[in-house]
Amino acid sequence: MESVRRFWRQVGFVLEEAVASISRQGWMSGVVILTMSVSLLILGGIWQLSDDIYGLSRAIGGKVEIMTFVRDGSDAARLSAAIRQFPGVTTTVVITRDEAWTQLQRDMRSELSFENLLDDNPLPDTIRVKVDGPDQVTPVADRIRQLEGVEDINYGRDLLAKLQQIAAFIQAAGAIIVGCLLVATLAVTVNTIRLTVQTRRREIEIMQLVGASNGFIHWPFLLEGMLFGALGTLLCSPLLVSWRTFVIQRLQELFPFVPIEADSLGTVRLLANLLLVGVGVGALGSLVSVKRHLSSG
Amino acid sequence: MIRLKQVSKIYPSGVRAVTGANLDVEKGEFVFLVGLSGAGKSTLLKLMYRAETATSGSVLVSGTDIGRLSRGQLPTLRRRIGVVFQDYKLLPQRTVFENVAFALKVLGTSRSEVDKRTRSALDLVNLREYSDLMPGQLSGGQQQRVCLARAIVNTPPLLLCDEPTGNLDPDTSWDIMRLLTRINQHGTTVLVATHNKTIVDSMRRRVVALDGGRIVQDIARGGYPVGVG
Repeated sequence: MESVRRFWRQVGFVLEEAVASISRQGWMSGVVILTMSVSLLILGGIWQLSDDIYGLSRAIGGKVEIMTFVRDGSDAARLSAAIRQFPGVTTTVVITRDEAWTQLQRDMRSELSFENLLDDNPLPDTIRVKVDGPDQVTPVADRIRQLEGVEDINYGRDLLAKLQQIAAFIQAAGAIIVGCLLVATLAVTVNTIRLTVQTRRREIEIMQLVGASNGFIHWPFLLEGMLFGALGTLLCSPLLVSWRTFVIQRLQELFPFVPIEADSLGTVRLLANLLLVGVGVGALGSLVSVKRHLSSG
Repeated sequence: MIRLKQVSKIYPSGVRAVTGANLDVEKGEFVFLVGLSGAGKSTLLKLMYRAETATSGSVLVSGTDIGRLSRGQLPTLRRRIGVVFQDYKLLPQRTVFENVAFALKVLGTSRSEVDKRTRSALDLVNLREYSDLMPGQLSGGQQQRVCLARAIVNTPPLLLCDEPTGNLDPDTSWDIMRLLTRINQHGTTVLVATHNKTIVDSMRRRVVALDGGRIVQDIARGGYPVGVG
């Protein structure tokens, strides 16, 4: 029982120490928090940008529809119902040959007189199919093609392939850049936290002398690193939110025909991810610094 | 309490600090380690609290060969040893009370016990009224007394002092020695590395003399040996 109480008293001590040392170190803490904040800002900014451009390429891809032409004598409504059951399909709309004919005549009235040109309506029934995302277009199109009663299908295959290439490139490049920035952030954090470890080397020495275990010695620094990360993220958050708004606006200006939503959920998710990264990098940075110090001492 | 068997220490730089040292210190003894700077006094003390490990031979503290202790077992040893340094090693941003209490808090001692023991340690070194001051506001002698209070607050059975009066004037040095004597009278084994001839001559305690890393004399109630510096 006493050992449990002792453990909780040590936890209390560690928490007290972590918070107290941040204020005790004054400007040094400020430097670490600011450095982490700037690193996280760059990391978050690039991360967001690549996310948004990737989102945009998907949004453009999402506009692609699969036009399904129904063979004469087949039941378009039945086919449409079957297609709607396919995974990835969001909506299907049947355009009967008569509707299509009327529409075409209306569109072309000024240029041609259809009454004289053709007696019969040459158009087939058509089903307009919308899918979840650009990745779904090709697999859904392949399944539709195999259905009985489908004459032909048409979708922007080339445009889609190009868009998918762009999206994959952005995702890969974004991941590499974010990965590199993550390593850079960690390196900067390790080095700045090492300064605080240096200033507290006597504390570490005393802790070792009075019989604190190495594991215990790590904790105040670990928590301090996590707090540095959390405060750093907090500091750069307003800038990141404004940056996101700015990016979304610019993208919307460039692509007015694609609805780009600056969904608040995405921003919150990004900030939450960044907080995790900040806290994780802070903890890791502290751990590396203290370990290095303990093994050299 | 302490037994050194053929202990040698060669630093990675190649410096041979201690050579073939044999020493037995009984529980409750007061021992001076004397010798010139570089004679190996500090290294010998460091070997006793495992700040350094012996290159050969064995160091036994309370029957345990401390050279064989794992890193995880080291804290248990350290909790049984108090260490006092020439340069005090106080935490400058903490008050006198916090400096002493720190040693107990780290070990998870209860708040009431921390208060009680810290106060009585500060009483012993006559610094109770200085509790709220920072180390920088104290004289050298007072700082050394804080260091002493911190070393004994956990009531260790062994106290190692490395040149505790090295930076102090003669009067203050005597204050520290009187304190060490009092602590020793409470049953704590005390080892003091020093080259303060006057003190060693006056106190007539056991004197172990080192020269060039070797123990050259061990006198039960001696003075500062002639020719050792």
